[in-house]
Amino acid sequence: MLRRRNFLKASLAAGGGLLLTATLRGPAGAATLGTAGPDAVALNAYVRIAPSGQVTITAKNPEIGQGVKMMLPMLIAEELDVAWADVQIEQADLDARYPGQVAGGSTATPLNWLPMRQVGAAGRQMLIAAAAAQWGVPAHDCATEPGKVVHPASGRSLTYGALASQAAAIPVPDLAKLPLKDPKSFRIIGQPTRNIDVPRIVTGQPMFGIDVSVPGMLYAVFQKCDVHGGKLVSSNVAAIRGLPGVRAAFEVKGGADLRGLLDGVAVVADSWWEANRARQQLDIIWDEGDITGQSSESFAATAARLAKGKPESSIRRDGDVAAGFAKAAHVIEAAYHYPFLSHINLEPQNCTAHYADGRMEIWAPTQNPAPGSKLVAATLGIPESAIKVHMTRVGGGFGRRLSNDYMVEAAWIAKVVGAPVKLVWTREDDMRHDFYRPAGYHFFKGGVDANGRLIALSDHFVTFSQDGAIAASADMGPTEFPARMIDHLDYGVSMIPLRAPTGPLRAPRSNGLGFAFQSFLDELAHTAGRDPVQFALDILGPPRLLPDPPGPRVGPGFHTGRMRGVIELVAEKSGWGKTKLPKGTGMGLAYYFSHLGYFAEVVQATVDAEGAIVVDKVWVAGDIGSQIINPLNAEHQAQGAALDGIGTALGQGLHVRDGKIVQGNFDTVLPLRMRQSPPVEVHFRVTEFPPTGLGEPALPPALPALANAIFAATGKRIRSLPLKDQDLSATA
Amino acid sequence: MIRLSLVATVLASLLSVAAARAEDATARGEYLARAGDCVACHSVPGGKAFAGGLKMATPVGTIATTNITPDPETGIGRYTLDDFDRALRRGVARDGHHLYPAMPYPSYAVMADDDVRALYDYFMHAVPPVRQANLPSDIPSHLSPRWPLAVWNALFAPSPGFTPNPGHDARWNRGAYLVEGLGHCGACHTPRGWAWQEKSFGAGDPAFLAGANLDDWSASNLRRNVATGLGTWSEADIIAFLKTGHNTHASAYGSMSEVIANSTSYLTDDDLAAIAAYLVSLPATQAETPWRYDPATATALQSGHADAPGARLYAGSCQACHRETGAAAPPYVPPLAGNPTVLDADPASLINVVLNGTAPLVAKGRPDAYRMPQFRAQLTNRQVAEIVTFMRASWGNQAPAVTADEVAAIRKRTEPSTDRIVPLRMR
Amino acid sequence: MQYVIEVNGTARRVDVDGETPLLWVLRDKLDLKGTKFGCGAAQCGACTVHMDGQPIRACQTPIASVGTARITTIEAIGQTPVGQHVQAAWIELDVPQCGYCQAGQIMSATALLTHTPAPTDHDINDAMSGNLCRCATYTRIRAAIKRAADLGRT
Repeated sequence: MLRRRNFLKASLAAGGGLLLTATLRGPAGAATLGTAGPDAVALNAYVRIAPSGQVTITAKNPEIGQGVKMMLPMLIAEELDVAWADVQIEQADLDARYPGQVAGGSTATPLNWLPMRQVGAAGRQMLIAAAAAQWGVPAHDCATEPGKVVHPASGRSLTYGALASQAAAIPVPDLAKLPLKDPKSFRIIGQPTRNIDVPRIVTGQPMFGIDVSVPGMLYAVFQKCDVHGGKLVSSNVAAIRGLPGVRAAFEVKGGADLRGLLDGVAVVADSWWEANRARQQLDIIWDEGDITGQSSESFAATAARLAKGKPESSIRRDGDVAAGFAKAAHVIEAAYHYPFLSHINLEPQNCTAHYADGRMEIWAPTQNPAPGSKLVAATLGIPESAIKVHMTRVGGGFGRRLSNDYMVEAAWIAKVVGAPVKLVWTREDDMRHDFYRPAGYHFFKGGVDANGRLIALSDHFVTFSQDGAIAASADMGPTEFPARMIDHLDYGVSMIPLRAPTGPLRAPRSNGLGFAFQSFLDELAHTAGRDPVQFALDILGPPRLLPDPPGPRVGPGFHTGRMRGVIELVAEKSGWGKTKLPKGTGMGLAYYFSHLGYFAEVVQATVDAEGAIVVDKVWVAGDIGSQIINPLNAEHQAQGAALDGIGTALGQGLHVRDGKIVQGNFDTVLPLRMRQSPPVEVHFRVTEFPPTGLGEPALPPALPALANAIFAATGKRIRSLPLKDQDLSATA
Repeated sequence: MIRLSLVATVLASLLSVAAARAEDATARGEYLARAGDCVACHSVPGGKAFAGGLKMATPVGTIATTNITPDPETGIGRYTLDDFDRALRRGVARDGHHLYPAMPYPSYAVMADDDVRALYDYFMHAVPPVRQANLPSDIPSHLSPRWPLAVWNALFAPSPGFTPNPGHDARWNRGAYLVEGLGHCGACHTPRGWAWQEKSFGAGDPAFLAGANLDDWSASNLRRNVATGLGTWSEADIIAFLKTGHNTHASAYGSMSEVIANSTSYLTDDDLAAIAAYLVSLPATQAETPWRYDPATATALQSGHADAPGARLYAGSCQACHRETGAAAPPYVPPLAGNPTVLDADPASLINVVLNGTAPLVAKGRPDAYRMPQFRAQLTNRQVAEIVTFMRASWGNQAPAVTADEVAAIRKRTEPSTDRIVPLRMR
Repeated sequence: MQYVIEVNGTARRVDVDGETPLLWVLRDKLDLKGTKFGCGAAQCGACTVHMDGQPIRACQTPIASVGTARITTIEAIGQTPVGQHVQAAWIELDVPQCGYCQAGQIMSATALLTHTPAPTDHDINDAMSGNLCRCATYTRIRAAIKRAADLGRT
């Protein structure tokens, strides 16, 4: 379904092996899938084959724990037809020959499913051509077995290692015409495949950005204003220079872009500990700017006030929602809220940079190196061609490292100091200088008819603006479920000005909208006296594709049948409606479509008399198309995403006071811990649709499924997160 | 004759020590302001030094501290030396109204005339004036008349002046002058009576510095009680504590952190030694069984099979820093074994620290390296009670158990501490 | 100040302030980068190492307090049979996602299995709840601990 005009170039690799360079136009649908920019210019995929038959495949994308470093080479290796045991994987640097070197939006699978296989298939065809030429037989009489070309008629065979040099001289075939394997004959795709980096991880080998070591390296910390974008007035930086181990301490004047270099004070020392200890003695006067109304309490009060009026603008209007409510047998209203969130990557933001002889070399744990390189070039006034970015393994992405603020800080400091510098943030820096998942307020009204069917729904969504425009990842689209399936529907939006910067967090928008909408739909089901599964299937109606309206983010539409499929699957696997549960225990359902994936989840939870929540179990059913590329990782990603949602709902939420984030560490922002972690059962429904990604779509249903389970267990409706701030005790 | 000359020598040395310490009167005044920790109450974090505005809870209501910068309109710019003296040592403001005894004038009463003058010079000439109107206090109207304070003063406030104790040397007397006077240690550490009066203002009374509960902190017994007091602390231990907030027995927390940050970390070694000499002379209020380390807890925790209630929670939440031995890593991370705060009959401080953590302790501008996180969000009242009870009954500690209700009450009344370093800028 | 500490069976000399956390001595002075920095407040467990066999948080362990204790880090945990089993189980079950927390998880798991060779779920909850995994790989961590226990029995 994704069409590409491609061509391949081959050349002799420096080591004498076959170097395959695939250049293809970016997929036409790229923009529709949420990736930035116009058609990508050039993609290059390396395949090196050593005479020994060892195949080295370059993984072009950043590895943040989503398994892409395995997945993309698996696609190439499959069509190249090599034994997986003979494959070595190399992490690419940022390199203009590779398009889409980004980890975000669960896009790696849909964007690369065909191109990476074509890269492998082209290599295989060239190896066949080389063997056919050597044997003097037609290429179509030859075949491959893993790692070798065979001529069945004569029984001859040659290994890829032996053929590599000749193959490199073969003209590159037309990718569009390449035959690809029948999925039934896949030997690598679809096999549970272990992550090749695990042996290094479990022995503590240095792999992450924070582990980078460069000879002569110094260590840096950078103190910014806790009110985002605050300007530096004065500091005692001169007194800091004399402290133990300190090699440099200086003020930095930054710009106004919250995603770029900001005002602050850099402290550079012989060790990170000394740098940070010196930094703790900084006494800085900041101009914080206007922080009026920048507090959680003020936001809530403003949202409540705005909700009393009409929305500032409309998102979608279908039918006549007032008439719908008038016709309804039951109408309920409810206000929902979810908080600001930090990404809390376990590896704090860090970057190593070295500026010498007009060239900048950078080692960064980044999800998005290309804009980082551009940002460094623009801020430091050096040409992008003089910048080299190495992509390290990333200790958690979650969307935080789509921004490269820490990269430009490290580069700036390194340029001033003139020595290699490793910048490492503290946990508090990380929580207080994030691009936050925006909080949101939803003021819902819904009506069900006498038959218990949803006929009218309105949502006044109060969100945040920044500099007059809607804040990043704070928007809601016109296709938000159950739009297109309800006759009378009205979505409107109003905005509160926000100082703190916002940005995408794993399953952006969906991670908040899913909680609000799926909780309110559960509320409506109970109001109607309906089973939530039946209520959902009624809304979805018969299986059909609902195309997306034209617009900047047009997608492939929403297929009601695929959502029905996962709801029915999760109901079956969880024993929905068939399991007798003890008092205080309940099951909750939620379902959500995001990042092209259809997911339905059931959570079983128990609430004791003191109000303590135990999540007993989670069932996940997903539809991500026709092929699970690495089932071992797919199950794991779905488990992790669902548990991420559970942990977020239980223990995470930031408080804003005087324009600053109050929380700073894991004693106040609580990621899930082992003792809270339930078993998660994952089931995939294989359908005929193209394979899609899995980093994100299993997350959004987990939060409302838990909230709905708590309602089933206690009769208490959860309309605000996190749950740690709610009193669920029997006496409350 | 001998006696007289001793008094004269003590007085002379008090004055000469003070004189030698400071090159000019305002520098000496600044030092005295440090010793008196004026800035702690007369400023708010992030605000201008000495401009007031800190809200203080008292039994009759919340009062706000006042602007003591030399601004003539909103501060004390129109105060003469006599006005200043009357406020400082007798608790009477320039307009004649009586100050609430949250202002420790009953302690400051012992200050020497010269020190009052030096302090006055400092406030008038070295502190920048800040125009900031005083906040009203929210004391209910039936309690707001100030005349009863005069009666209170007559009943409870000691008469002004410091009389050196000839039975002790000059160092001890300097310590007494600082502890009983400017340091106003008794304001927190001496139990208060029926009218919120400190039960004692001097070394002669066993109630003095015997420990007290204030705002859900149990201010420790500073006497020689061997378990719940400072009976096992050497003078060097006391000096280290006041200088850095840490020693091998304990670390400071709560408002003591602020005292160290703004006051005692700036005191001279001589003055700290004097304070230590004085404190170690205060006899125990009662005989106590000395704490003795019992290795059974550590053995059980090491085996992974400690089954006492709270032991598993301790292993999960506390042991990584405080260790299975409860010995932790003093002076950086305080021990729980034998720590007077853990042994205190009143568990308020221990509960408070577990719930709310500790703020960075800044000694002479340098924060300490390690900080207690808060567990308010991670542990239920029952879990905190179990952990605290476990700590109080382990490693040889013998202190009464704690209930979930006690934890719940403190949780409700207290706020979590911040990890932010907030310098109070005296300059 | 000079300190000599025993790390992974070798005496190592370092010259740092006594307050310096063992974590930064290991990472930046001894180039043992397997022990990770995550929170600096003993809240995440990424810096877990063994001190005389007990799991401790290196970020909250001043170098001055180490004394003659034996420090073992992830780089050497495979030299014990239990550590070997844990590493093998981690590989077999493909436990890591991003992998950043896993050194700390392995150190805690090894300490648990050393004193409790057949841990229950409750034992695992208690021993492992100080180690955060932001990717939430807990399902497999739990399974891998049980698998390592099995490997220890055979």
